[in-house]
Amino acid sequence: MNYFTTLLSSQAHTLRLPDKSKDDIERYVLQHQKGSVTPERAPFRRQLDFWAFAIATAIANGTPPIDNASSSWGRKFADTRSVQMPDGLCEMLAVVALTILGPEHEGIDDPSQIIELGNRLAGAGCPELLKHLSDPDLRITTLDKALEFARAMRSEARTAI
Amino acid sequence: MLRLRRIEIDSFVCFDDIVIELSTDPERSLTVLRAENGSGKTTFLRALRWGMYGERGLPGDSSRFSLHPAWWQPDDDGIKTQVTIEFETDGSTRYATEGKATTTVYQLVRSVTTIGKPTASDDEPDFRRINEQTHLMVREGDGTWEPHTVGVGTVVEQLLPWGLRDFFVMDADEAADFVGGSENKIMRRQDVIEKTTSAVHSLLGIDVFKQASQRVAGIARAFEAQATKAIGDADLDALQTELDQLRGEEAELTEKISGQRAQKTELDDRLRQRRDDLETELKDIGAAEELRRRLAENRSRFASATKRRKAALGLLASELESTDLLASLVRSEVTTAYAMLRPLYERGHIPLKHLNFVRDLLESGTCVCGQDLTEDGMHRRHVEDRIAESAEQEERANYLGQLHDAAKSLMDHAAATSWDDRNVQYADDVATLDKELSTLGLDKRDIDKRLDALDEEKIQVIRDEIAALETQVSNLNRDLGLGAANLPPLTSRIDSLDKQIHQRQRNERAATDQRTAEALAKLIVDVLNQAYATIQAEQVQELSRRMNRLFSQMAANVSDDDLDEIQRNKATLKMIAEVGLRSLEVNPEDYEIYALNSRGRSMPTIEINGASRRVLALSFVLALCAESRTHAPLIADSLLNFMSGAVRRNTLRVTAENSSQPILLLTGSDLEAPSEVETVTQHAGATYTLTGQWDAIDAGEGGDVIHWTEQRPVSLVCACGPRQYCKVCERVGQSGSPGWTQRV
Repeated sequence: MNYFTTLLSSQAHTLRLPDKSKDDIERYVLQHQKGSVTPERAPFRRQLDFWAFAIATAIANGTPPIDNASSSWGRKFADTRSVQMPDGLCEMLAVVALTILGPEHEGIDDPSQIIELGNRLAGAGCPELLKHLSDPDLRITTLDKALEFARAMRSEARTAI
Repeated sequence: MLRLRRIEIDSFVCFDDIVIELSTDPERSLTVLRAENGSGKTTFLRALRWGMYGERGLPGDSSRFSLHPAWWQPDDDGIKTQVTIEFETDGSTRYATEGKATTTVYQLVRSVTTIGKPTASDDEPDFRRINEQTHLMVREGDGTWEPHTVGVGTVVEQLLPWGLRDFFVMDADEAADFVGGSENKIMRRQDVIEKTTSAVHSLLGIDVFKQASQRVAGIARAFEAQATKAIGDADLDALQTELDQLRGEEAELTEKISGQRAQKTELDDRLRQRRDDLETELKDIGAAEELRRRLAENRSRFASATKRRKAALGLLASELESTDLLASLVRSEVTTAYAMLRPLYERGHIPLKHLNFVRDLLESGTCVCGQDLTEDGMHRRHVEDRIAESAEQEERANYLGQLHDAAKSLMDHAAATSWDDRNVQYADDVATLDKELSTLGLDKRDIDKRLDALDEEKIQVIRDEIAALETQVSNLNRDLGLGAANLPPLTSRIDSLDKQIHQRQRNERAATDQRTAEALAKLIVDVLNQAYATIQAEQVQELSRRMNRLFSQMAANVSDDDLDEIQRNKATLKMIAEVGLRSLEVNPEDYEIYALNSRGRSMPTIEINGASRRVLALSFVLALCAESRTHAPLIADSLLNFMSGAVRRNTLRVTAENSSQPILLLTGSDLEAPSEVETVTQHAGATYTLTGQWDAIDAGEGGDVIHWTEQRPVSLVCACGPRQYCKVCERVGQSGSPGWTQRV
């Protein structure tokens, strides 16, 4: 466990996703589906993975975090102690907090603020991500749609630099 | 020897009045009647049979068979039908082969008048025949005709026995009955055996011996009875009565056993057939087990591939969680952070690594420049103040240092291309597994389909039938066993009574003469039985050899192109290595035709194709006629049907060369090839063409005969041979065709 994972997981910080999209999100999360459903229909293993991808979506698309506190619109799906946070994700959250909040901001090393920023970014990226996943094209699977979306954003992000 | 000379047909179905002069030239004995299908070949054959045998020579219910011309409307005046057959014989027979120096010419005239008859329904014939008359005339030395003194029936039966009609006036379809039936008719094996046996016995004269033996045995018994009577003893009379009764029972039991044996042959035949059927079906069952094994394997592979696919999909989906991907998506932020932190890091501001170094110097009491940093020194306080100032920022600087490292790591992740490579690899893995699953799905559908096609119900039905047949055979075996068991005591009792009677008779001189005659008669019976057995075996062997020779000649140089397309799934001439006649194990006096393949295995005749069966039947007919020295005409219809190429050519040649007077009814297509034309030209002493006038273009029936000379639906005869035409028989396209000539 690296430095940022320890930092964010040492206490329970609430992870949230938009309450109004609960059913839509769970449809794409394998953990919430029956045994016969494959990743083709539910490409995200856990809600945490959906949450992380939504944050990356918001940043890749330049979507600002939701202004309001996540507790006002979000639904808790886990907390940072109950779920295994990947090291890379924790590093990404800290780095993003630095750039968005600014180096002088007092909260850049505050886990609760970092996670809250993550919640607000996830809330911001969620609609765009759901829009791509629910594309009505039946010729390709949801997994293909998610990967295709990821490839497009990845390509865009590279070009931008 | 019997030879047909002339046939005249008046008012018989489609013939108004035709005359056919048959070839009597021994060097060119063949007569060919060419006629297209429906032009009167079969009617000609029927006219001949009616002329020879009367009503019984007609097919089916003869009262419904119309002999009168098709154009005639039934009336009270009626119409007379007449067939005149002129034939000659030198008086030789099968048993007395030496004929007279001069031949006797006969004329058989059969006529009948058909008149109209009122009918109650359309189904009833509206005619009846009256006044049938038959005359047999003999030609005198001066050429005049005188009535024959012996009855017509006797002469015809002597020269053309009714039982052998198929040998003289042969429809090739009917001849195929000797080998189990023609293409569209399958005969019971027992019927085939009876027909073949009857022909063999009659023509080879074997039955004559048997009948003689039976007759003499009867005479011996009569002598025996008379000898007993001559003694005049009441006890002896009683013994004789009992003996006669027992002999009657013995004969009855023997006949019953013979019937049961025949029945058993039939049942064994059916049982063998059904067992063959079962074996065929069971081959499919063997296939079913293999299919089920493959299905189980398919299911297992399908489950494994599905599992592997799910795992591959899991790997592919896990790429959505990958740090490489997330880092690349937030690349702008990572780059910004790194750009922000990198100068601080390079300058050593983050993390604050030097602070501990300074603390260590303070601990040691000497600075790197040599200044005193001991407790009382001024410099020490200064350094302590600086350390205190920096310590306030240390925690944050170290945090930024961690951020620097994280940004650097994320930069590396964002720059990595392995995410794309892994993506492609996992997607390929999934595609490969999709293909495998698709193939397995198709295989499964195929296996399911083949399994569905298996008819297990049919197999059960066959098994039930076999069980029933086996029960019947078992019962029959039991009855046969009982019969066979009853026979020896009966025979033993007969022998005992016979001995008792003989003992008593020996004591009486009056019986001596009778006993001598009886003993002589019994001796003759023994001699006849031995002669019968020897002749039977030798003649049948010779017949078999001759039949095989003829068959080989007809099957020579046959290629696959000569085989009938429709029947290619059946055994062909090329597969038959040997044919012949054999006696049956259950009853050695019964015969059947056999065919063996090159490995010496028996080929059931019903599995042989149509052309081969005709060749087989014809080789039997020709061999039997030759072996029995039956020098009689062979009038054959449809002989070359289903044959082509070398088979047709060989059959035509062998028939022409091996029959004493072949009369062949052929179609135009039978005579298309130059080789057939050559054979006919070489062997034929007379050729004719029958032409149905209803085939004339003007008749409006869609025919291709050019001239409608009669303006009536009759068949006309002309002397045209193969590839000849005249004003009577010319058809569209013949004039000007290569090889065709107009007969003047």
